[in-house]
Amino acid sequence: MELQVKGGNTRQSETRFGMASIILALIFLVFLNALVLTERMILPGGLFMPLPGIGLLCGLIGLARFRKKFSYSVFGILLNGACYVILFLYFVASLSVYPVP
Amino acid sequence: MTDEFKERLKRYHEGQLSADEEAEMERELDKFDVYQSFLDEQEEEDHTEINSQEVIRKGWFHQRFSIIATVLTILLLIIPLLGLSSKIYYVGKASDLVDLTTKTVYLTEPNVTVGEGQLDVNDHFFNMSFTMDLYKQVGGEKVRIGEWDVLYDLNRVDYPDYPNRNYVIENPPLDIPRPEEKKLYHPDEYAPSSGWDQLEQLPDGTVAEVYISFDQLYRESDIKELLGQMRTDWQWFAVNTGLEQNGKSVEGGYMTPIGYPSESNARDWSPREGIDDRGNSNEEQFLRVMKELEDYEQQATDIARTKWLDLKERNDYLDENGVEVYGAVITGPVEELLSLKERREIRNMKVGEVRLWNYK
Repeated sequence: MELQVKGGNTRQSETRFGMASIILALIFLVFLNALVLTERMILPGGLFMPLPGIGLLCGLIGLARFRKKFSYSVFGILLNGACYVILFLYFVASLSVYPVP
Repeated sequence: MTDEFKERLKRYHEGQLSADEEAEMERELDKFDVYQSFLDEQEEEDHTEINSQEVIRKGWFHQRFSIIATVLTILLLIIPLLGLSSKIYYVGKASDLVDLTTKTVYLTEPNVTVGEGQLDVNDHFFNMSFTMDLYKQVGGEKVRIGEWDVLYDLNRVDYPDYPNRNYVIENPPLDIPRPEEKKLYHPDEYAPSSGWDQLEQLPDGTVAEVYISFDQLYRESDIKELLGQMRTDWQWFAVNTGLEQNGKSVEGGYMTPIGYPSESNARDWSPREGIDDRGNSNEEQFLRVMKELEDYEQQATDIARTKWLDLKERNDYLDENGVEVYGAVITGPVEELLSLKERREIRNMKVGEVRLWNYK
């Protein structure tokens, strides 16, 4: 009985928010692949652009749940952050390839 | 539990049993305690078993989720990172490659200019493409003669598929130049009959682009007065680079002329404003661009129609002898052009594009 009580106090399970954060980042990466391959917004950008932001929020909520493991949350936050960084660099580089004087 | 045992239990509770009966009753009750204890332990073990299964199930799920998420992340990052790397590769380099292309056109295509305005440069996975609209000055107007599609794989032209040349004029230049289309002749080179008769047959009020070959080598400044106050204007000068006398490259291939536009507007040398706006004369600009192209000779040769540029040999000759011209492209009204027939400086003339009067 005592073991059961102690087990409930340890970080033994991941949060659903952490998982959601990773899944949102992966969905956004699919959109990013389509964008890079076609050089056009064949998927609606308005629908996909907010995904990493929502993913980051989910990751932060997952981190705030101290009694749970937070590896998914950290992974989700890093992946969503990387998505935004890649997207930003991609557009900046696109504008810089042949700049209009 | 029998009625008799219940009656005995009641009497034990009320203290009515004899000492022997009471002792026996207590022994039986002890057995019940042991049995109850056994039942409790059994129940606890069953409960623990259920929790373990749940933990194992969750463990499997999380393990599978982690593996799938990691693999998908790696796979989905490949294309965006490659695309980003390609973009970063062409930052700065794309402008150089576009300039290299346009400068090659200006130097190797007589009286051809690249359309004003920004080129539409598209970069993909480690290649970039763009289309140049080409124009010729004929009379008072720039006439569109066609377009060249250029594709670079990294920093090399995707030759021979590119440049893809599309012309909209009646007699477009050949993709692989041949001596039959030659229009400019070195003073020491045999020149066939001139095209004055052809020019005389053109009706009044037409304008033409003509290629004139001089009787000797001239400095640009010495020959510029030839046209006087005429509406006819210089468009392009063919420069003697030491190989024109034989008309062949070092390897023996047929060479087209190399030269520079007479237009003083620096922007005409590049679609990007200001790239060559250094206040230099066209001769100095020509020498500088020749040096620049020497560093990218393979790319320039792939872009140019002629397959031999021999830029090193030509630059060495130019360093030694300076810029002297042996021919030029001029354009203006046919009557004015015909008035040049008797000028001793003009040894040969060939007619190029002809249009109706287009001076404003």
